[in-house]
Amino acid sequence: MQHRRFTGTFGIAASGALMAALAVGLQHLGNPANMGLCVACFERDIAGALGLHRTEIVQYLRPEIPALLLGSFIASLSFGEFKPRAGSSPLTRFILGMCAMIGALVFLGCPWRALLRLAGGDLNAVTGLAGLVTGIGVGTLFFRKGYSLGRNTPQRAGAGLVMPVLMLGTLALLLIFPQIAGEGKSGVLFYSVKGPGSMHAPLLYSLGGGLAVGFLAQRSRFCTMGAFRDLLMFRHAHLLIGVASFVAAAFALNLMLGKVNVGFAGQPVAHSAHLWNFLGMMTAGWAFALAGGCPGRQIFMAGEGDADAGLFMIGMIVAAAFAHNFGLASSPAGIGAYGDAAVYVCLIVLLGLSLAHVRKAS
Amino acid sequence: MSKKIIDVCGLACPEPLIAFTKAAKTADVTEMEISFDCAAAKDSITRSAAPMGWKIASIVEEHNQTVMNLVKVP
Repeated sequence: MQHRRFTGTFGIAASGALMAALAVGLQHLGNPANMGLCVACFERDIAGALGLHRTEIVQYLRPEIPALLLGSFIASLSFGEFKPRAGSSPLTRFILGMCAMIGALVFLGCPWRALLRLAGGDLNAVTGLAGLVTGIGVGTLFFRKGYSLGRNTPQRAGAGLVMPVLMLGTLALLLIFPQIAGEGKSGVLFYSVKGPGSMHAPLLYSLGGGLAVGFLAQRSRFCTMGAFRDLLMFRHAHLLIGVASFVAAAFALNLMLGKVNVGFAGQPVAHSAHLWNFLGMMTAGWAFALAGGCPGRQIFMAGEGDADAGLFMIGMIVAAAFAHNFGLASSPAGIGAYGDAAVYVCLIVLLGLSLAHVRKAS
Repeated sequence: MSKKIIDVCGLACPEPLIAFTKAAKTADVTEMEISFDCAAAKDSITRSAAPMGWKIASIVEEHNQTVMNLVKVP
């Protein structure tokens, strides 16, 4: 019954609401508006903190990301679901992670942030979510045709510990080289002194929030991509209850805090290039569908010992660096100089990977 | 009237559910044994079985995998 407590209807709804409360809480404590939790934005900030790109306004080693993975690691260990595994088309998953990040940075957010933006009244999120569902729908077409990334194989415990240990190392860097007020660098880490990267909740709250969300999501299987995929493929609304609960709770809390601003213009860290909001998230949604999980879910699976999901996550971080170095990422002023070309290239890559992994039924 | 044995170990979500759904809709399959090691698959197959007219006869967890036996409800 311990198991069903989280995976039943009440469990997924409560998990969604609690995760939203933690996300809005982190916004209230200092994270950027409508960005209490955003896997794409936070991995992009981590890429900046490590100097993989040098966009000065988005550099902070966001502790929420390692905390999310470690929360899932603790949950999976506690409930006998830590299963080290690897070898299911790892290079393809790395490239899927890259395409997902490029799409997400054209929109300016992962699916979680799209939901948080919606809950804050940002109507640009509607076109983004429409794109996300469309991309997931395209992905399901290939699953119906026999798309598969193949079987993983069980690994020794050490292989499953690589990502959790990497996350501990990342957190150690943050403790060894803490932010110095007004300085853009501390030891090996880069920090933002202005812009979204300079806005963050206190370390312990970020860590606690990330750990709690990681734990809850691992137990409840919360997945924004899975919610729409299951509805489209199997007519299952279970995971969608979690997503709906997440939006409803975030909206209610934003109302209480006076943080709802309905409209398209002047939204925080957002632009109103509707076509590109749609196509950016369509790209991301297609990539998430092909990889079997939204970026949050990839982190949680990596915490469960799935090295392939860890590679997807690293692909996202690498792509964030490319996105800012090559002018692919958007800003509130609009899409990047090469953002449109990047989306076209990613869509072609996704089509190629989709076709390449369609297998004859056995 | 036949039993279908499906091994989807190593395959991730949603493939175990796709395999279950496909077999569950096959007219002459009345029993099924499905082996998987994806934690989410246990939840999704459990949720899908009854609405599709199937009953879970047994669930055995062994060697990091789950073996689920199902029968079609007449």
